[in-house]
Amino acid sequence: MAKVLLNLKSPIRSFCIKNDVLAVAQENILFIYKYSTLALIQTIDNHDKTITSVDINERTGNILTTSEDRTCLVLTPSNNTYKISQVATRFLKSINYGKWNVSGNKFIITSSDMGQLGVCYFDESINWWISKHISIPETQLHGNSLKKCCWDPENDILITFSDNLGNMLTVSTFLKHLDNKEDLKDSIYGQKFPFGKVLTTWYPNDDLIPINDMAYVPNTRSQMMVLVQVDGSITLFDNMNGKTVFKAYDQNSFKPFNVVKFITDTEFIVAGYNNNALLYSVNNQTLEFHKTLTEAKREVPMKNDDEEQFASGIQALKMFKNMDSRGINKTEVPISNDAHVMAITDLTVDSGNLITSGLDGKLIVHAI
Amino acid sequence: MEDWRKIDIDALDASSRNKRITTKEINETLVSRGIIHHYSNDELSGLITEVESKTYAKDFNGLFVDIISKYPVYSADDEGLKLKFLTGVSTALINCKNIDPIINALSDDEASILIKYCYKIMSIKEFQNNGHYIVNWVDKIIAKFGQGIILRYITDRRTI
Amino acid sequence: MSQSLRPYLNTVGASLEACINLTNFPSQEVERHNRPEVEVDFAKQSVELLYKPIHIVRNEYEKVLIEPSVNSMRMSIKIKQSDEIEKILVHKFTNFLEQRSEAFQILRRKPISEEYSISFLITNKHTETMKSKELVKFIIDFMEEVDKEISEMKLFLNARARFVAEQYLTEFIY
Repeated sequence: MAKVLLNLKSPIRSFCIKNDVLAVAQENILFIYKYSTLALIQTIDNHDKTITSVDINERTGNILTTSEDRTCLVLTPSNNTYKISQVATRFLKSINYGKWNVSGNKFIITSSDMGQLGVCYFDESINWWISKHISIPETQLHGNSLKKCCWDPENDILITFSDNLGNMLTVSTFLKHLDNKEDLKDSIYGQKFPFGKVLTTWYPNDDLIPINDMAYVPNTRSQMMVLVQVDGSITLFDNMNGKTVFKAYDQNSFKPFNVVKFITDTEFIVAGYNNNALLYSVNNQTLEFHKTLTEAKREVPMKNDDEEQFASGIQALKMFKNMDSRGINKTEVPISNDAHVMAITDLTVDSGNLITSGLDGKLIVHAI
Repeated sequence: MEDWRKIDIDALDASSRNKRITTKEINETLVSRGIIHHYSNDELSGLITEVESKTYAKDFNGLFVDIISKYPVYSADDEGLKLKFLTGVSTALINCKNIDPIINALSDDEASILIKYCYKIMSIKEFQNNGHYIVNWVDKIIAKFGQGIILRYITDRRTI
Repeated sequence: MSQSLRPYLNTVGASLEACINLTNFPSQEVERHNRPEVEVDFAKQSVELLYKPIHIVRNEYEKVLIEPSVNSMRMSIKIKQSDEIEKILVHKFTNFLEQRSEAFQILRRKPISEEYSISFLITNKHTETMKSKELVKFIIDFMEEVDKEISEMKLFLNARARFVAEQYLTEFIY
């Protein structure tokens, strides 16, 4: 059974649940709740433009937010509230995505500034979070905005990211004073991993279509990945050799997906513009569709009582006006409907439940 | 820091930091990586002859399935010759009356290529008079392959 | 409905549905801005943000152009105008709507060029407040209705002209 946790007025672009803390980004305001009781702990309004992503580190409890206003905040828990510190990102454009590594001493941000990536860490000597940049090689044709990125689960040091021209790169974020060389010993991506080294670079599927999200397939020594692209494809990709192993489309909607996440070693969930979350699995070099995890209910048609207002005038104009306002009215239907009516922007799995957020401002829990 | 007057302020301007990409650059990258084939004049002329003879012989199945949707002309030396090729394709599309068996014989990728031609032909003024024949093709392709094929068309950078 | 109109509207509908998957996209050119990328001057635009435009043409007099981009799409319609009267009617009609474009949200104040009668601009702000399916349905309904509307207006206009002429000319009958 699905249950609506939150029903807000404007789109939820990103959220994160870790250690019983729920952080929800809504336009330029971040709401921090206690997840089990949904009691509001704090609201953060330091950003003055849309927050693009939020991430919580499990070990330290630190919250990371990135925003279109070019800034990026780290919120450190202390005495039931959060201490806010700015990050010196040195980026002049929007920051599109941020992600902690597992240990919580480092995080990565992607920007719209010259296709650069920022590797951020806390510098004790100046008491400030600072950022070191990695660029896509000049020789390569690349887009200027980076989208999502993901850490290599095997070593927590390599990172794979993509730009808006369908480039996908794997680079090393090795920092001498933070990382352990031993962690990289087993990596299949090479022998030496100096900071910023580009290990692989591909145009998956050869079509230069932007990649919305990607995830490593567990237990493949980080060789296999699943990508979702703007054309609605889900690709099983061999990142070592740059080969597409299998490509699938959602045959029901053909809409693109925004997010992909693994829940077991083989099963993963994708969600996006079809307003539903779908369960797929990696099965022997192929991708298999299992089921839709969210079931959209039939809508109750809305009444249209402002008809009289436009009774005079031309017929098409009347229809025009009505259609337009009907579109708006429908999205303001309150809670009763426990399915997304707009694209799903983010998803997370917490203790066997799937939680999804949508452009319709809803945060919904579904049983898997 | 005596040289401060020589600092190029414009280079530090945030709005000029990002390099603009052009369609030409994308095309060159695709060709240099061997993703798409660049047609020389001779090759394209050969293709045109083949299209014309098959149209004349009314072998539309062979034409669309074996030639047009297998050898997409993404990049060519001579734009005039490319237009001639498109004219040939357009004539064939208009003259072919039995559409369904051809569409049924196409794979996903082949249909994606055929729809690129349809949209390209509709975008050229000279061919617009016979638009409804092409619209018919597009409608039938969408009916078989779903609207995903349009999404692939608009996002794909390998363009005709 | 005529034979070739159905495929035309089907194609337009499916194409719109495919193009309406818009995302929020902060400008990569101007800091702290978020603008519909399809409206940015082409010479100043980086092509990776624009997708391939779609022309759907029934004949020279009836066509649609859809220009998709990462966070916005623009759709232009040429409404059928087979004679001078229809031309005037279409012009008056679209003008009337355009002058009230803020009430219609997705309507553009001007068509993109002389070639088209009316343009719509849909941005991610619209798809975040209105269901995209409804928006597509609305545009298709609009296309269906507007032809009917214009021909009705034309009939009405002709009837009125005939009536006026008759009234006027009866004066001269003895």
